[in-house]
Amino acid sequence: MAEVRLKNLTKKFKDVVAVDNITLGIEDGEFLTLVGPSGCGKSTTLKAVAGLENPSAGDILIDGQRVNDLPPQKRHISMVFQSYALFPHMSVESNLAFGLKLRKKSLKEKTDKVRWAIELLGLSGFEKRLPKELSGGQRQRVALGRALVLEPKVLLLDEPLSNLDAKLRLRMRTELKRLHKKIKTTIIYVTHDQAEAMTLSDRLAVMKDGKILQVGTPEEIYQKPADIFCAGFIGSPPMNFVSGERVPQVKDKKVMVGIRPEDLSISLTETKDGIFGKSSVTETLGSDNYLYVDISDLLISVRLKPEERIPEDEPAWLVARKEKLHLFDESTGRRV
Amino acid sequence: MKVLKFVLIGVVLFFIIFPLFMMTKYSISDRESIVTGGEYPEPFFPFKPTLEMFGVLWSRSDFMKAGLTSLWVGLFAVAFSLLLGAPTAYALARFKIPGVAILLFFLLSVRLFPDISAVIPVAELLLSRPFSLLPPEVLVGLAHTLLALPYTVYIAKGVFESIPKDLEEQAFVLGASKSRTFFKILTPLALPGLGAAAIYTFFLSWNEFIFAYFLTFQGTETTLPVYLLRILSWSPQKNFISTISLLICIPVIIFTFLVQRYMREGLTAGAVK
Repeated sequence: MAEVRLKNLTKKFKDVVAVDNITLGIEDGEFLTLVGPSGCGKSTTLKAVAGLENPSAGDILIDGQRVNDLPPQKRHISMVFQSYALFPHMSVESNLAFGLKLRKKSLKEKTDKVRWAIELLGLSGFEKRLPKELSGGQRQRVALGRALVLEPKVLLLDEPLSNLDAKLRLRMRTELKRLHKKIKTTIIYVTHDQAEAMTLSDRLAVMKDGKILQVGTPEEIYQKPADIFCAGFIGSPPMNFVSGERVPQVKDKKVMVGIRPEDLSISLTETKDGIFGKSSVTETLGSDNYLYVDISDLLISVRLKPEERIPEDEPAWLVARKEKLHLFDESTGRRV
Repeated sequence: MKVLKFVLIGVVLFFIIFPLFMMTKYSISDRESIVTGGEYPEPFFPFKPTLEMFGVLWSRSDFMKAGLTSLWVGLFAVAFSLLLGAPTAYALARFKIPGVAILLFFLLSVRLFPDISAVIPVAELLLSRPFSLLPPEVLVGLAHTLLALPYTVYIAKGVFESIPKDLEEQAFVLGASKSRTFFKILTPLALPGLGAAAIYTFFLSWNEFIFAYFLTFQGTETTLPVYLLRILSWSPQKNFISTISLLICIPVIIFTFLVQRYMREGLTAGAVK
């Protein structure tokens, strides 16, 4: 277990800045997720921590020690790749034991560790199988086990769930969370899936264009997004945005006003302070339904009560909870 | 239409099979079936089929020696082209190299000339010191490496490209050194593909005439195709020369049947996922 500090980390590929001067601290035993759209630099950051990419500038510290110049195997980290990267010609057992063998562990320690991983991850009976004879979920667990047997100070996970089908992904999400509770290793997790980031992490760092826009607990980021991108990226369906002017908080500045679908209520009769629109399609998710209301060609999503149904093309009035409005500077995107 | 189709197939098959048939027929012919003196036509099938010529060749030390030389030359060519070609291919597959297109072009260039013109400078080089001090098997093996290397590099490059980079990075993270990763992870995965390249090289070498001839025509040691030419210069009997041809073919035919599936897999190596 260890804490990880990134200080002014920058990675350039020729003229492209993949990671732009980021500073981030990950506490001992914390589950931190780097989340952002593809190409935002989250995987490059992870690979820099792993030692697979050399930073162009800045420092990486693991437990206070600068590791920039250490090769991956000396950093006490483990990594699980998106593709799992299981060695196709080795059995489950050999895959699990590969790292231990290189560390010249005794035979007893090796077998004990492999046994431990096999039991922890429910892989009994599959020891002799080759990766191609396993299901996607099993492969994923072997990859995880191979990383865990080394007892890394830091576990790096690069979109480990994205190759699984939807149902399995949800199950592995829960398993991963339980596993973290049990082993308490520092985990840096990379994903583009905001739901995964929200449910798994202690804290998350939202990245875009190589920069970290906000770091915080899932609640903090959901309730108080630091800028317009975080506001739109976290939450599903995304926050609604309307441009506004002459808002008392900021004089003479154009702002974007954001409101989440659950912070709007709808009325079919004229209401004081209500904004008039026309009901459009409803998305049914089972537990919740989201109605889209057309306000002069702008579609605004509203959460309905589960049993509530509103037909299309009905006049409707939307009322926002004022204390739940988010204001962003239109030119900088930052919260005001 | 159907009749025409069968006739066409028949004609094609005849062209392919007839020489093979003639070769086999002569190799088991008795003397009366070949030396007719114009008194009667050669029979379609020998009067008294015999394996006599196989026995004669078995006891001829010069034939066995040429066979052994061919084998060694082939093995040297395989070894050299893999030792040089596989690392080259790995580098080409993994690293961004400026001017890689030009490099690949030069790699192929020796095959862009007809062999008969390429052989002169190559023989000139290999027959002068220090190369001329090498045993003839190694010399011819080197020449064949030159011919096979472009193919080896191209095949092996495809093989390495089909192995995901993740596997290497994972091995590094787990603590493996570069050389360990190359031998423990990459080599086993590349083996079927490299095997295909090796087989290809061996056949090329087994079959090759021009370079082997220019490099060995002065000496006594030579490969089977050149040996065949030497025999031909004495105008030997048809059954003798056909038996030599057949014996040169047989290993190739057997081997091809045995490994063709394996070779196809190697050539389309993309199976590692």
